Amino acid sequence: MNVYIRQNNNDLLKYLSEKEVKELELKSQKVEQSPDEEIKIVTGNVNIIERGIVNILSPKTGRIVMTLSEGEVFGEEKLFQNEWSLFYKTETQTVFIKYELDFAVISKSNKIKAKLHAAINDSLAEKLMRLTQDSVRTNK
Amino acid sequence: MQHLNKFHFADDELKKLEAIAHNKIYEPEELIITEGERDRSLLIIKSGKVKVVAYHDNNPKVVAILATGTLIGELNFTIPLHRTADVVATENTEVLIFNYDKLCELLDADDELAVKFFEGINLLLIERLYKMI
Repeated sequence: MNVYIRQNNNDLLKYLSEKEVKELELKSQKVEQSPDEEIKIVTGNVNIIERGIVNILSPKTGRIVMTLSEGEVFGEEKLFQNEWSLFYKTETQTVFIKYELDFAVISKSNKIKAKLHAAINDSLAEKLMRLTQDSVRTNK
Repeated sequence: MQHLNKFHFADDELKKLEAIAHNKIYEPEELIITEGERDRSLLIIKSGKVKVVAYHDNNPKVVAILATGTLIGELNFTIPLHRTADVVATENTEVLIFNYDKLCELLDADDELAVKFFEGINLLLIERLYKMI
């Protein structure tokens, strides 16, 4: 079994029912950026790539550590906390959807909050898995 | 259960978690987790120390030493994978084990506990991700 079952194709909202998505009163905005531009991540926002390529850069060395493409979530690490943040830069012309979450609305439902956290768990775990596999492949 | 304090569980929530967990004691060099096995249990080292052994081209390499209080298996709990490394006791080690299905049932039934649990796991994953890059 899983704790929650995927209900749609959106990796951020995947565990939410149609009714729960409506309850969330989600604001979203389509953003287009040119190649080689930094993407500013704001606490409370999560982004999903619609078109293009976004690189995650090491905040320590500035080197590319992971490449993200269509459908992938980024900026999720800053949704509920402000201590840790990654550095993102576009590689190509990129269009992404920026979701702005209203914490007052989220706080009304622990079920919704738990499901959002669970979706972010998945996204972070997949990134960690990719990094681990790259690290094993290059035998670092 | 004080090892779960960083998740900010209330006493009654810790009792619920304790009720679905069981303890197991391992001797030095005893395998706790075997690479490749399909098991999504979550473990906490209650006492003792373990080594994490990963294999590259069949060559074992100790990639981490984990001590009391460390949570093991959060990645595998989140996404279904085969275990990616061996975990071996390096001394007498007591481990608290949360069965995957029982933990899922509890989280599904208790939303407040689920928020704290997933929030705690998120922070652990972010911390690990940040350290890796």
